[in-house]
Amino acid sequence: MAQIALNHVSKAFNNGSIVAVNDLSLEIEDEEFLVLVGPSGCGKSTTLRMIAGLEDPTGGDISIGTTRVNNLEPRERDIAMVFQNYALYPHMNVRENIGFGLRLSTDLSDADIEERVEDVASLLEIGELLDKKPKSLSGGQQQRVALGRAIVRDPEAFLFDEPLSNLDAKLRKQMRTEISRIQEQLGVTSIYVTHDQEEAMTMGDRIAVMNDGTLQQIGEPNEVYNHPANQFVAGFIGSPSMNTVEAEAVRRDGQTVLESVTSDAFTYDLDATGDTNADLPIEVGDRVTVGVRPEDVVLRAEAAAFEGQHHTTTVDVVEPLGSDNLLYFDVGSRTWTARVSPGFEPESGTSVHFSFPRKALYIFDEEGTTVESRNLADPAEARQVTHGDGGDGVVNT
Amino acid sequence: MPTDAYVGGEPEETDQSVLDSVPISFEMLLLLPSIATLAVLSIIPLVVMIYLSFHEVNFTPVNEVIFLGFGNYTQMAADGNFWNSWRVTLFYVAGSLGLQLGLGILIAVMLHRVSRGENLLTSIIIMPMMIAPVVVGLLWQFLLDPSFGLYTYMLNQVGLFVDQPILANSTSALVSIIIMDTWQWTPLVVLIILARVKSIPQHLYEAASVDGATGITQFRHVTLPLLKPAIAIALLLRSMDLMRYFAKVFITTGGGPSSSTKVIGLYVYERALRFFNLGYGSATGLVLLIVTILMGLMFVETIMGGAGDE
Ligand SMILES: Nc1ncnc2c1ncn2[C@@H]1O[C@H](COP(=O)(O)OP(=O)(O)OP(=O)(O)O)[C@@H](O)[C@H]1O
Ligand SMILES: [Mg+2]
Repeated sequence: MAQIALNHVSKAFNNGSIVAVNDLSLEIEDEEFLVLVGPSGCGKSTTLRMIAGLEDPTGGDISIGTTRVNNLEPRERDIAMVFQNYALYPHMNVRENIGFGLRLSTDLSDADIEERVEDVASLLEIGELLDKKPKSLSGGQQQRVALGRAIVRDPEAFLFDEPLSNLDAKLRKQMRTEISRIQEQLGVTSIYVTHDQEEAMTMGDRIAVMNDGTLQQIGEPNEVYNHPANQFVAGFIGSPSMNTVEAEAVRRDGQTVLESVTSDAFTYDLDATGDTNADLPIEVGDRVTVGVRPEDVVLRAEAAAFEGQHHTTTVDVVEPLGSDNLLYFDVGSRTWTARVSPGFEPESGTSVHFSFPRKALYIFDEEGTTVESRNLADPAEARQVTHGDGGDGVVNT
Repeated sequence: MPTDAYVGGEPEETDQSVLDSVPISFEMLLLLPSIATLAVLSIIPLVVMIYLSFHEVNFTPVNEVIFLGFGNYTQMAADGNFWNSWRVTLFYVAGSLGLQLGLGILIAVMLHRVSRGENLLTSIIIMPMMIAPVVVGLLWQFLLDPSFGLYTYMLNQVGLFVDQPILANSTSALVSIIIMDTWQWTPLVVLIILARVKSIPQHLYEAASVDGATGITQFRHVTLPLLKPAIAIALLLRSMDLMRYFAKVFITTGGGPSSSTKVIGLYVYERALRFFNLGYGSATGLVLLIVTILMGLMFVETIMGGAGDE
């Protein structure tokens, strides 16, 4: 097991016309599970492939353990990789597929190899598939074999490139837990690439968010969720995405108010709650983006339910999820989402009222950098905008 | 609670078409022209050939056909020339297949790695294939000519074949006709293999290199096994063609020196059309056909059988 370090790593394709990875520095601790997440084309696979040695960086250093590996062939790096499309050898049966790496890179006897293959197969519960060819396996079984091929070699590190994206939703969840369990059990340093933020949140010890080839933020899942470094991370992590609206800080009646730019649909009085805004680095006249997580939006049928400021809007669409309902409504020119309890299911077109606690507010400056992120010790604090129990008897959770 | 759903009635019987009452279907009618062509070109000659192989056919002084039973076949078994031709054919086919396949795989894999001008290179490489075999024979006869041939000249420079023309030595003559066919038909093997090489997904090589494979082990454990079906097809096509090898030998060595290059195709030709021994010629031709079919089946079974489920 080993730590992995990337030091100002860059990768350009086509003589520099495509910059896939731009000055990326990362340190992955020994035994850590790091998830590399970002939208399609942001350079995640390229990063992983550079660590594996399948792609040469155009700048910077990569080290595994205490060795600089830039000039080493993939086979000399002692890493194992799991590919999105499994990349199983079609002419070999499962047993040969799993044992192939051992056969090539170790001088174990056939009996020892056989034993280790059997061990791994039972760990992954594919013992009865050992004599089948990959073609006759289901997607989930193929992915287990690919996983087995990585595990059996007991490498310094696992590299996963979207290993679950070809599986259906249920299997994906199941394999997710399984990979986490196995990684923990074996304690192998792992880098896991995905574009699925949910996978990132649930699997990673830490998450590294990338966009356009640059690292946006690295941190623990909760930290990235609650304190995103910028508007991109805020929008990317969390589902449904954070609600945003562009606003301008104005002075009105001696109060600092955030007023939406596109229309007068939305104003938010920063001073109303009595919280101090002294350390908030916003000047009157500043353009900012206001953000609120869907679960922090409080919706009520009656205005009287709110103690303080609130806004009136019209419900566009209601999406029942069973455990919650998602309500879509317009704020300015943006569509906002609110996650409400399943009992609150207004007809679309009905007028409702919404608000959110001051502490739930995210503010991003014009460059998108986070000026303030939400400060809710307990998300249930959101309820406090209203009189204890809502007028319609619905409690938002 | 289960309830009885309404299930509709059976669909009504559709009217019988007029064509249904005719014993020959419309589809069979459409096949008729091709069946007729096939009959004229293949089936009838084959039947005639089988018939002739059991007879002795004489044209002079009068046309006569005498039934011999298996007479032609017993004669064949005792015919030293017949067995010699098979021996030559064996060397010739095995040598050509080995060379063409080895070179074909090598060139295809190298061509696949060429990043620029691959199409141009491919076009150049497949050119020999487009030349008629007779022309290839003439071309090589010219190149190997004892007095003005370019290759003769070059070999003479290093002290070879100074006292004897290349095609006058039984070993070098056999090697020459193998090289001629290899020159002409390796490109076909290249094309067949190249198509397959291109279809091997890149990520298999990546997985193998992470698994610890070097270039050579990748070739051995990934490329080669996945090429099996293509190799079988190449072997099948080339072996069938090589068995009836004729034109280039006919043009260059004429089977000599002293029958050392008299491949079975040439032998059959001589018996049937030069010595006009049609019955015996047909019998040898039939044996050639059967051997060719068996060989083809063997390639398909042994090589494709293992890789067929891929
Ligand atoms: N071999 C290549 N040649 C040219 N450009 C490439 C090559 N490989 C990747 N790129 C470019 O580099 C960028 C990053 O690609 P990469 O595959 O790393 O994205 P990704 O984050 O893995 O995306 P996805 O989630 O779609 O897999 C893309 O713009 C892509 O077009
Ligand atoms: Mg990718």
